[in-house]
Amino acid sequence: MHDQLLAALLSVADVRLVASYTDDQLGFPGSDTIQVFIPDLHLLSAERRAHYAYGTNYEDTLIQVVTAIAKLKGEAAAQGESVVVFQIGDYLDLWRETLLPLSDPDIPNRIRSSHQQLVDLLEDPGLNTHFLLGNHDFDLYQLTAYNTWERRFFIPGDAPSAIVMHGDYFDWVETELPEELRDIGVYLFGESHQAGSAVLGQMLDLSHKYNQEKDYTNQIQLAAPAALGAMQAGELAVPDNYNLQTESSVNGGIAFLASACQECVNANAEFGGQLRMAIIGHTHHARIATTAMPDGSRFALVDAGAWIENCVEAAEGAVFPNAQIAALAANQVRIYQLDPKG
Amino acid sequence: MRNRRIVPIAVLLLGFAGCSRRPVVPAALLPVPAQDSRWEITQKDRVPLPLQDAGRNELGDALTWGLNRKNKAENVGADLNARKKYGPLFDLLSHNATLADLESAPYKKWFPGPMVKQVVDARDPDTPRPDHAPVALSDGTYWWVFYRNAQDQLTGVMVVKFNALQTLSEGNQ
Repeated sequence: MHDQLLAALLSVADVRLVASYTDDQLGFPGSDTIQVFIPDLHLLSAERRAHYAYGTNYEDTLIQVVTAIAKLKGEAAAQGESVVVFQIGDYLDLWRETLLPLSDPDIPNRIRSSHQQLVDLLEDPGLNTHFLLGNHDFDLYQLTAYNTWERRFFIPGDAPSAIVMHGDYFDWVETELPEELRDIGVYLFGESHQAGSAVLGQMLDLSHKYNQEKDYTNQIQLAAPAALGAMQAGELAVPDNYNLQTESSVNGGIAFLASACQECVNANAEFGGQLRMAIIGHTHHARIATTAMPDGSRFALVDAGAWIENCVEAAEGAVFPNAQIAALAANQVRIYQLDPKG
Repeated sequence: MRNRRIVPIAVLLLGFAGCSRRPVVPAALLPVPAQDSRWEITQKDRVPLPLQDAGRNELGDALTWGLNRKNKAENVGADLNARKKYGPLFDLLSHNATLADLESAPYKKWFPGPMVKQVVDARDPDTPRPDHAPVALSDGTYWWVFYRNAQDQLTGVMVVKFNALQTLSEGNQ
């Protein structure tokens, strides 16, 4: 399915490979299913967008990409294959839209109506996008229209080896007192726990606390463009492993890696799971970072990137807009940078 | 018309939930959410009580996939050890029980919050009679809607996900 997805992407965009990672033990041996991860979009209403120097990148390209994925999903279904689509949080940017995210329950609709074509595609029941709540749109959980949106998923559902989550939890892990995070961690990583109202309230409080400390005038996450490392043209054969961050290959390349690995190790010990990969967004820094788990097997943190703010290949290189997706099939995960067709 | 009147009231109450996470507005009613948040397709699919093996499996399956059949269809897990977590509750629901039993200690352990006595289900052809209308209780994550007969015996259960009302419930505790 990787080849089919890549062909679909190449038909609508210039594609570059940011990173690839292959592990026979990943738990996704089948080539008849591909999981596609669309990271942070941070959509704003047209009115509010005018107040910021930056916004969602390449929306027209994104529309074409989602259209191509939807078409592939339909074709795959006819062949008995599957394309599973995730949007991994910060789809709507309530925090940059208003200081009081749900003071008016119509605020999310105000944003959505400014991106109707994209919204119609992503929220089409036929695409069946599995939406996660990010920190910038966490408040949506209180609205009935977003009742099915979750804070994490486990895949494959019948024998999970990966957790899909927004990633803001690791901000908290690396700065908050552990006891404050105990319930949230158990909820996010514990396969047997769904969030109760008290945990959701704790998460909402932490999200708001971080929001209040931020100034989004010029940036959300990145003071400087994210350094991705050298990319490879999408038309070339994809190596099993490419541009993996292990120590400090690029600035910020292993951010959250140790925390994510430790949380999965803890969850495996406590709940008897086999988690060996975390797929996140949030940092706006597309990368695959790997480390060793205590049993010697590999752990991977896959940051699918974003469609906002910028990146570079090397420190002195040209700056270009973040526009990435990740894809997982046949025990291989890839991240692509997608630019408008030149 | 009945639902057209009720929905704005529910929306009004939920609007309070959006303003603050510790509201004082009581959870007056539970609207039954869409199928992707309740698993049960039609009332004919309702899990009968007392719980038998088939019902136990059905509930376990529903909770494993976050009450969303679209998650199951794409093998995307939400609560993968639900059968183990809710096993003791399933045991409890395997015995004959009445409405009064829902207020007893064994049930309170699972459903510590207040009972919601107005369950609005747009699929109902008629308004349920007040003396044996369904009631709803929250385990802190999901709402469990219990159906009863004219003798107050519990005859069926439907689990739903409704986060907005969850916040209201929190405000009551």
